[in-house]
Amino acid sequence: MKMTAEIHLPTRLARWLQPQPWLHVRSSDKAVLKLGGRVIRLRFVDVPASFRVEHIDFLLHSVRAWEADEATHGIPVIASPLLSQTIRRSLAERNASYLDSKGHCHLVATGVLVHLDEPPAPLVKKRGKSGVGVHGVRALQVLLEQQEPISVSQLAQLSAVSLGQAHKLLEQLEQLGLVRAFGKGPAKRRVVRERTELLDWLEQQPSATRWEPSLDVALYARRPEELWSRMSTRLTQAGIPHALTGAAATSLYGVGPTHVPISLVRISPEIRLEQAAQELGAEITDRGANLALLHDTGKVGCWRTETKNGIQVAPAIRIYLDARSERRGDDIARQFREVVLGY
Amino acid sequence: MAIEGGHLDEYNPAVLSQLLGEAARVVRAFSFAGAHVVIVGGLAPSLLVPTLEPGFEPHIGTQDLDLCLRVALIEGEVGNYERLETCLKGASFKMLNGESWRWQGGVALPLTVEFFCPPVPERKPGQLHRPGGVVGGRLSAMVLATGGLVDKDFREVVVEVLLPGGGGKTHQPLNVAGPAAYLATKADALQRRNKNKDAYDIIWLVESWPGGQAALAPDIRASVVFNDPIFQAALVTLKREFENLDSAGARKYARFMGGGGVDPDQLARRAVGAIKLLLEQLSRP
Repeated sequence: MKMTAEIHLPTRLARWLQPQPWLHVRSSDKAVLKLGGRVIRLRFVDVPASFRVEHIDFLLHSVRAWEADEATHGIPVIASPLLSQTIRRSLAERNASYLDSKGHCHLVATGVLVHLDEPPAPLVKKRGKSGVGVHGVRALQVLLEQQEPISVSQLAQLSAVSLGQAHKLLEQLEQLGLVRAFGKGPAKRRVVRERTELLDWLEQQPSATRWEPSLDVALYARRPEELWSRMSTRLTQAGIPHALTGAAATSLYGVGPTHVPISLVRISPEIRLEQAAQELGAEITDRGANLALLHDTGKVGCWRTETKNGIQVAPAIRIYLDARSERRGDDIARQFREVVLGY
Repeated sequence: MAIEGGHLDEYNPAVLSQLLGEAARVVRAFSFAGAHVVIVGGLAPSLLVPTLEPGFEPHIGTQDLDLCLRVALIEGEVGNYERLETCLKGASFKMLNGESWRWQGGVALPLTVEFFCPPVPERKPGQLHRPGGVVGGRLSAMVLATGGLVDKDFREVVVEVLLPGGGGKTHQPLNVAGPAAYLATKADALQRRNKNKDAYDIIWLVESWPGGQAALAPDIRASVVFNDPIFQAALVTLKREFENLDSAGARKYARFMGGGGVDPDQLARRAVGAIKLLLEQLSRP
């Protein structure tokens, strides 16, 4: 019998799994499977993509020796960037759990079987292409901010995308059941059904949390606020579009961490990061940097920035998405989402 | 009480008010001679920067009271030293481990008082001095290379203290080394010993000065000791000790502040940046 399950995984692993109507995926520091009132701890055992089928027995023998008590230690789950069909079959035959980056998932515990072996299906009913590009992400960030129904042209204008791109995105979201349409022709408007659901969907899009080229630099300041202010003032004076984002930016909303080792700053894609560093008067370094300059592909951070305490910050949705991508950023992102975004 | 000064965990900033009370008690015990002693050690930063800008951490504090005797006390007869010693004993202080320049006492908390003095003829920095010659078991003071700067660059601050032992609340004037003399003294200590806290004391003062380096620099330039060769040499020492991430001063700061997953290189870089900015500000016309 299929029943609704909830799986909590570290962010890097949560991204491997496509949510299903019967399987909700959540980012969390703790890896657990919640099913029918049970909470089953998962203990991941990382193996490389080069892992071979002849290694399975030795690995399972070792893992089960460490994890003799399922109730106390949880079930061991073999995690790998890639598990071939042969390996997956062999693991399943041995009642071993696994997960790979292609979304293949097999979790076995006493009285429990969760299995995903086909290419992952979309979160909600799918009739069109599911992914969005970086310009679509920018438009989605704008859409999530809207309180009123919006037309295609309004979305295009607010998010600096073409009418065609805005139309295609809204159509896609409508087909996915994430926005509701009413009116016809030029009077047609869309409204977000559930912001929570749309944001959940957005954060699953690879383009929303893609890796960006970055440059680590050091700029002296007595305090983080002074660092951000100095950074923003100098870049503004140099005419460089930028935005503080991630955990550092959450601090400006009063929900950030007490210590931010590296502050993320998105730099307009038209500007070379080295040029931005030079304008900042910052030293490019791989030792003791306190700023990471990010190439703001798609202007997802530099478009519609806000000003906080005189510092240019990215849109709140982008701050949240970037915080999730940072090391140990899950908790900060979660708190920011709850307190600032509110959905 | 640990006096290693290796890491901030060894210190408790919460005892600052008690320490001030003890310091006031000692200075009051000296009576009129109290006007001729200057606080130079770890208590000085809190006295120089009594009010912090928002977001700045209070100074971590100290475990001892360093007093520099002014020239007026160390020149001439031994009588001044004898009176100080009598006062110390009257306040229940005892010589610590036979070291005549270190005395221990205190009412609310144990306090070690260390005595320093400016250079005198035929006494090199690091040597002990007592008018008429050092006598075993009697108060002396250690010659401080920068003691002459302290003698000229100090300021009186008035602090509200609660005197220990039920002595009540009072406003106590205390002499404290000015920022120029203090930095010179700490720079000298930094290059001569392995106490990590010296680096912290320097960086804390430089960063916590209201307005930061840009505000501190004019104050230092206006000091009577700014053009003194000993002070200028101290600036060279500061530059050298905080030249880059691997310089000794920068590493000491990182060790003192380190732990809790904080990148030591980030801490060292901060110390380097703090001193570099101060020196830039000082070199401005």
